Amino acid sequence: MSKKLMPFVAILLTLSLVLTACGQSSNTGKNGSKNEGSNPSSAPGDNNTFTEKSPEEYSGEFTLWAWGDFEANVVPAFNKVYPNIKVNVEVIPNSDYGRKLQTTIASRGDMPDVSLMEVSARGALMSLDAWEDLSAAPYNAKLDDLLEYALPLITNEKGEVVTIQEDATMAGIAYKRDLAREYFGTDDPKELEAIFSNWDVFVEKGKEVYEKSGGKVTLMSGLYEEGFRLLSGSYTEPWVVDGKLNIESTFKPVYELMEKMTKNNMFGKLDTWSASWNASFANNNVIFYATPTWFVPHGIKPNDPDSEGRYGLMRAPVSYQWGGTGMSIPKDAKNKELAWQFVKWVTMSMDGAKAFAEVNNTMTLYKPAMEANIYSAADPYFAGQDIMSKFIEIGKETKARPITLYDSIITDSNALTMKMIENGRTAEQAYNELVKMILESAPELK
Amino acid sequence: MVKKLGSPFMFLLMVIISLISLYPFYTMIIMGTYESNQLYTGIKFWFGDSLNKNLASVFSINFLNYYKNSLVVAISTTVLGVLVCSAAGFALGKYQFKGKKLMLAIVIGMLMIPSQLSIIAFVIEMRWFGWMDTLWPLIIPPAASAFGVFWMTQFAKNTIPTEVLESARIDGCNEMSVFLRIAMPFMRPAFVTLALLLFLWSWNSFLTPLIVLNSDALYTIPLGIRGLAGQFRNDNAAQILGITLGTIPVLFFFIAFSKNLIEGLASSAVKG
Repeated sequence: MSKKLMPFVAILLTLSLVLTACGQSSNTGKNGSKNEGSNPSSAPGDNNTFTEKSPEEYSGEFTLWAWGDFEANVVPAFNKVYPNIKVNVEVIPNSDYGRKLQTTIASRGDMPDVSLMEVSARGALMSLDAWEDLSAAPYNAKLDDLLEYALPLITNEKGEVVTIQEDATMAGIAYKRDLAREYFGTDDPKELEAIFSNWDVFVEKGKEVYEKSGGKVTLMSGLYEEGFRLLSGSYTEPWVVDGKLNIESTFKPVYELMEKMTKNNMFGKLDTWSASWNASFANNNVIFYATPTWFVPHGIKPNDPDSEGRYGLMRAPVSYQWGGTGMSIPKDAKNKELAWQFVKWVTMSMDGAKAFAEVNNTMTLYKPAMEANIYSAADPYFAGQDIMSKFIEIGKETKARPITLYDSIITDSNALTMKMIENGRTAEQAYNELVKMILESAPELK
Repeated sequence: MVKKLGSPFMFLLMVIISLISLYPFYTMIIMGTYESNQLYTGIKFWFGDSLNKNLASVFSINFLNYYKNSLVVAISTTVLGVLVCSAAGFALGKYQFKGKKLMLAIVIGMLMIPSQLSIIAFVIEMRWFGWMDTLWPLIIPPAASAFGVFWMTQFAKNTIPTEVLESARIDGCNEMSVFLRIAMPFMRPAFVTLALLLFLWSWNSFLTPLIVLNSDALYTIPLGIRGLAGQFRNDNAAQILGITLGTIPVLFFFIAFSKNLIEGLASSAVKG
């Protein structure tokens, strides 16, 4: 009998060992959160203001939920100024970040001290009553220091600034110099800007490129999402006003333009971020790319690493912007004061701007850094062109559309209806379908 | 005559079906040996030369630790789950007691509700236990699997003859001995099947770890591998290699116990 019981005893012993291992992990986690809770800097805003201290005097730790290494990269430089603040960066997969954040908010789980808001998910997140207003006390963010265009992107419908965007996102058009010379006779940005001064020229030249190359080369990659970003970027009407859908003034003209451009083969059929789109950089099948600041280090250079000197950057006929990640402080954060030191330092300080440019190869929205010309440099990858100065020049004229709660529903539906245009349907058919799809998902917008 | 004609045909058919089934698996293995930007340039039939580069990417994240966490969670869930489910299944299948029907109805009801629906309540509960950012929520609740209890109940009801249990009691066995010495051997095929399923579910679980874990040190493989996907780029090849490496224990368990698994599935299909 005892022999037969032996396997069960063995199983129970193994189990207890294994569970002890879990227990050790859990203790670490609990201690960590206890430390955070008992931190003296964990009671922010008690007297509605943070006491000004020198950077060395701030001490303790805070947690930041990130999905990449944008923020972790600047932590060493931050710690040179704030040596006694420990930043715990916890990496959550990008595609699941919103789900985790929303579930944590709904269940009143442990929120991080700094949370990120990518622009595409920002509408739904900003509308939650879960974030500190960073323009109010005790934060009093100096919004005048940020490029003006970004304000609608960081303000919720109640007028609260619930996130501070890290990166500048103004955009132009990057082009392949060899192909520009071949098809347009020049690779000079000024000359190309003069040629491509309006959308009609885009249509005409797009047709020429397609015909001359026998259909192998297109002027631009595809409607989704580059084409849409470029063509819609100058429209600043919010997509929902007073609880009603307000997309006609943006989508109708954009779809009509798309229809015309598609009929003249100006666009290829490459979806942005698809594998074939990634491959198009090193190939010769696309000439122009809608290019915001961050797209240079994260879109072009990694996809075409061996092409130093091949690219140029020009203005688009309209000033537009695309993308951006903001940092927010949740109302339930435990270490708000320390978190704010980090957010402020990255987004609104000269040191932060320099560190950000150095490690992330792009710029923050901090105006004084742009005015001090810290980014100006010849970029060998762009054949010596000073692309940062070009972006700053564009940024002065850029305007952005305020974000609404429904933006992601509209964006998702738009991704589908643009395919209709790509496949030969008219702008009107696609627009009607878009309205239908949005109202099916959000009937309250009727 | 029919058999002679049928056999080569059946053999050929089985070869074709096996090839169709195995090709995606084979593709997964060879895709992990290419660079991400080569992956979609054409159909691949043979290994590429970027295995080392992808291995370096996989091990640039805390992969071995994710592996350890996954093993701890999956083994614990399996062992605990099999014990809990077979005990519950034996009780519900072979004993008569007040509230039995209600309990069975609750178990079946739980089978109908997708776990995604109850995730917020689950998180609140785990917070209440103080289990957030620990491995406990991945082990204890799944060990009381509604499917497992239902499965073992059906199996116990249909395969353990009541007469045998009664003779054991007459011979002086107490209830624990009846369960361990008499019922367990009868339930063995279902036991193995359930163990494999619990292991597989636990190994592949994504949503619960995503929501309850915050520390990288506690991440399991499915969550950790997603760390190779950035905001702008997915290192697809390294992710696929990570998945391939993550599949090894599941494969090992399946090969080791495939006979019992099929036996368990078949016997419950006939008698269930």
